Amino acid sequence: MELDFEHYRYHVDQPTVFLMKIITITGYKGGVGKSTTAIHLAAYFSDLGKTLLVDGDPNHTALAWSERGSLPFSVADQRRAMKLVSGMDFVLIDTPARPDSNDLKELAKGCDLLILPTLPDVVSLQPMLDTARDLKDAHYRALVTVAPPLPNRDGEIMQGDLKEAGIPVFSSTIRRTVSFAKAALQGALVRDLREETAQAAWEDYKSVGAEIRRLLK
Amino acid sequence: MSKFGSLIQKAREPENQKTGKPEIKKTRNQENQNGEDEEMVNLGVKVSLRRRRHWAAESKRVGKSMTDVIIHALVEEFGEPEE
Repeated sequence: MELDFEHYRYHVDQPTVFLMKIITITGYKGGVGKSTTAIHLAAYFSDLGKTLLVDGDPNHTALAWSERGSLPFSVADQRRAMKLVSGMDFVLIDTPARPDSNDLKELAKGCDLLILPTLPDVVSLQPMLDTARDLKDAHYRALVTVAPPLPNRDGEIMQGDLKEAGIPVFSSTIRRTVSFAKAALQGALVRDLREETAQAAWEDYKSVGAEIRRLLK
Repeated sequence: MSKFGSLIQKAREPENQKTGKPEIKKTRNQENQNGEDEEMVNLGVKVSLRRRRHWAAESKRVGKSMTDVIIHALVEEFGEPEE
């Protein structure tokens, strides 16, 4: 069969990625969903290519999560990651809360994108502003996590505050749901849970993933 | 160098990069609506080098992979297998 390329070229919606992409999830505050974000974005990218999640947090949250179950991508600490990194399509780095300034400088210089998760509360705003200040002109985006359900508008308000402060922010937010804790307990992803809220939470991460793909094109 | 610097440096070395498009892995749901794991196999097509060069260049230019175009064409022509 002769392929009519002109006919098909506009009907296939799949971007092409030619080099390894490195995405770091970091920030100056703990408990904002860094590891949860790293794990679910790694799952999103593992559907697109070979993915490695580097657990740089001394608490090894991501490693422990992966050891409790089975995740569709490799998870490794920094030492083991050095051996696994070759030939990967996507590398995600989960840092500890408040990485030291040298680490942050290296990450800002070497990564394609830094993601700064933040809770939608005033206590989280200042650490976010501090991180953004130290990142200077690096390619980064804030991500509002643990956003309470409507009619509460804290997530939206936080997005507005960040934009007002000149901080680039993802349009998508990640909702607050106990499904994340259940997934962590099972060593699974929220997409693997048969719950409506879990599937909705997975949709949140899919939206963020799609935004990242547009940013890295 | 910081602890992440050496990892990033290694990741950026040309010999550690893939030069082509990463193979798109189909998710379970995309491949099999029953949620069962299916064995994945390769599908090879022999074509002239001239054609392959042309298609590879066009594919890169328009940002659509040849794999996706071929799969799309096959699905259009023959449909999907019955579950």
